[in-house]
Amino acid sequence: MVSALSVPSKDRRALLIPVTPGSLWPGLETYERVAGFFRDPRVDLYGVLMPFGIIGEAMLMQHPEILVAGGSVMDRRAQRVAALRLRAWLDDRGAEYTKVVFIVYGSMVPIWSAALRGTKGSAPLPVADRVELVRVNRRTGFRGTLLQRELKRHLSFGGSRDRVSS
Amino acid sequence: MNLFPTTVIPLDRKTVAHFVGVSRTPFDCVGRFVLSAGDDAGGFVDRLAQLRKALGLRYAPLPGTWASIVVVRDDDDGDHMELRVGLDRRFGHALVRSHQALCSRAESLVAPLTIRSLALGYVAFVGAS
Repeated sequence: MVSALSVPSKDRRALLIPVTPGSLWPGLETYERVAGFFRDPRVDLYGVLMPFGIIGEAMLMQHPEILVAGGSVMDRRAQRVAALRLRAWLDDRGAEYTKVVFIVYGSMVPIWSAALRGTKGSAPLPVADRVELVRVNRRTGFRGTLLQRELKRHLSFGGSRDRVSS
Repeated sequence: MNLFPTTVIPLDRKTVAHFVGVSRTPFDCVGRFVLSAGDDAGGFVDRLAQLRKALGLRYAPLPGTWASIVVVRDDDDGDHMELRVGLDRRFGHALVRSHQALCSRAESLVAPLTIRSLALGYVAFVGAS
């Protein structure tokens, strides 16, 4: 049975991008090549990073100082904290989105995997069936149009006036 | 499992945070930590003076969690600075489920690392680092 809370009120998507300070960060070319194309009022952009799990793009740009203390911690403990917070976010906010698209890339893969699947025997998240994983081609990475095209396929709303589907 | 870590959290070389209690509102749970000087008491006083203009600010870059630093008046022990870390009720419940699903053996719901990051982020945000 589906509860009223788990039914999104309108078509809204979330794009989760693994971010790395200094190389893959809002405003930097590599990031903008992907994210810049999908800035739309109906698409919310989030950065996935250790040890905070997930932070909205606007907050990442507004508060880069949050990395002062924890941004450089990359050990298993940080990985664990990130997975816990990411899963909590998916549980709490996932119902707001008709689709959650995650770019599978780099060191965030184990975090994502733990957050979404949980451990053996744990109940699946209600949002799990609305999650789409987009893999990054090893050869082209964030360059080229392969990733853009793949993301467009998942984030397209249909209709000629849509920026994300043009 | 506790909501907030009860061990001493070293924030940096100069400051540590001691857990003193939790207060609840209809919307969130607030963990209270007294900030005290480590070895370098002079540095801490300087920092306190710089923070004066930004006390009470609600610093919330992370979803479901916020932090604030306030001065608490205490006639017996004198005034002290308190770090308050709030956990949104809905996000808190989700975090509990998350800990259960991942069979977490963590001491507290909110990790010391998160508290340290919020405290130092707050200080850096108000330009008092």
